[in-house]
Amino acid sequence: MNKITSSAPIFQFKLITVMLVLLMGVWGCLGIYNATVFSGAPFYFAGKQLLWLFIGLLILYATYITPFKNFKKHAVLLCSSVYLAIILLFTAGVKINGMIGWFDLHYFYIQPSEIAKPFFILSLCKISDYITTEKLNDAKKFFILLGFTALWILPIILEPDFGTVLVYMAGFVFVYFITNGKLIYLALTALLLIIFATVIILTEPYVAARIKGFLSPEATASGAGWHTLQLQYTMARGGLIGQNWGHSLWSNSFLPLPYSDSAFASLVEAIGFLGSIPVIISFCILTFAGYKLGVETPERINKTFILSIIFLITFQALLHISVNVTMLPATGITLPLFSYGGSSMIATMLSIGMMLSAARDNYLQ
Amino acid sequence: MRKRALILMSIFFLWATATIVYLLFYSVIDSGYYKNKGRKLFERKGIIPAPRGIIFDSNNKKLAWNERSYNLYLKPYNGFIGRREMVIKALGRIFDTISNPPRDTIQCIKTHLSPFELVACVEVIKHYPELEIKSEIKRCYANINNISDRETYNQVTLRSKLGKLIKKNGIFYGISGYEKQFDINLRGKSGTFTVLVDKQGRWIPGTWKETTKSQAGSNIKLKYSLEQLLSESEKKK
Repeated sequence: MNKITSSAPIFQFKLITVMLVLLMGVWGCLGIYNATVFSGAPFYFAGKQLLWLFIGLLILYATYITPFKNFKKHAVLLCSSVYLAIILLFTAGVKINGMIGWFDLHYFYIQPSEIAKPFFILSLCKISDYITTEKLNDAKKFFILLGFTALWILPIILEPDFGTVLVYMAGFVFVYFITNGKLIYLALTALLLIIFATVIILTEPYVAARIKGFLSPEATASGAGWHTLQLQYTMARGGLIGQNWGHSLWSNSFLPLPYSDSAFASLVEAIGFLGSIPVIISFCILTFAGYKLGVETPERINKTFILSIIFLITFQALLHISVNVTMLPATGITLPLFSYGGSSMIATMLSIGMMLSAARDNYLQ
Repeated sequence: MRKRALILMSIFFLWATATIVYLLFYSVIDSGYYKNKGRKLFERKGIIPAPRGIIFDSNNKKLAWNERSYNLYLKPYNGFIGRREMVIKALGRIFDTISNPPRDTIQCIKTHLSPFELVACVEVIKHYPELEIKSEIKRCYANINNISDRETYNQVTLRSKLGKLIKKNGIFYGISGYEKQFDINLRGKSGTFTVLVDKQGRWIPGTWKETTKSQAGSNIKLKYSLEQLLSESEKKK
């Protein structure tokens, strides 16, 4: 009886989630059109993104109607498949921007490390659930989860795609923290991350250059500081109400990757401060809806998955926005649902679909 | 679990608020400063030369006038090996013959582009920024082949009467003959413009703005006809 009475607000939150996803997807297509309008082929990227949105919605629906218990049951198979795909990149992948991260499927590129995100979270939730059921101690829980994460991100480090590594590490932190992980181990994780980041900065010249460009953009205006400066100028041009759709001169002329890595700044130029606030608010509402779905779900593993996956999407969105407002150095992370890219769209839709499926299962029982 | 999820969500909301503060700073509070800074970096100023006036004889025959031509230039460019050959190949689809000039200096490789060639070249330039189309104004003079059988002599005579020009910053200055005598009237007043250029120095379409209007030079009508000018010269000789 209780479940029947509480399912009404749950249905509302699910509806809000789907509506927001649809709205943000369409908004993203408009943003991509705006960011490429001066290129001579403004519908090339926007049209492809619209197609990806349509495919993504079908994937969302398909994953939503699939009972979550099936995902849990076949978690090992699903995770092994995507992990194998990441490994296969080293023999069959293509190198773009110095990174072996994509499969070239003639008509489009697929980035398996993007699509693997929900399956990675599912694996962590399943391992965490197993550890809790078996009543293993905290240290064991932490090192098993961390060991699994390390194994998962190793090929991604070798690609090398440090932005995605950061997102995976955040996924680990969310799952561990939500499942009552000890703060002392989280502090240890932070320490490990700092050591890892220091090693990367010292060994990878392009990462060091990005940090330098972020800290003193003026000094490296035509090099590493270029991106930071252009982001600032683009936002400044946006002003309070923006230049209007199709008039984003700066995004089209100077901003690097205005349709993917700099999608938010490009939007700011078109619709200004007042128009961009709803984008941030939409992600906050999506997070709240996911939170409500998560906390109302009785089963532990479903609850952990819903909360972790929605926090991962929010983390990625806020990371992208923070880079675009020059709060953080460039990471190459895209804005879910807004940035151009089939892999990113599929990953987000898969995540949302699985999240809704996990929330639905409990009310079918 | 609920409490921890709430803590994480609160952190995210705080983070979102911080991004809004940053956004507010760059797009509203300090937008003027960053907008000007960006504009200054990529804004270029230029002179719009006033069209030089036409010189007519007493019978309203044009003796000196202006003609605009579009010429194609190739600039030095540090690309990969074989890039220059790709540029020449791409241009080969437009022109029957095309020279491959030295790589170290800017060279004019085609003059007087036709409208068709101009449109085709604009497409090629999108892929090869080392190519540039420059519009140039040429001063033309009357051809007097039909007037006298002493063509060469008369042509030289007429040219010396009309005078010579030099070009500085795209503006013609008369240094002898009628061109010098009526220079102030013929020259007019130059205008100015601003334009934004991209990282490669190319003009960004839609950013050209006229800041000062140019005033075309006045046309001059001489007291003598073309025949009188020539016969007077002969008499003097």
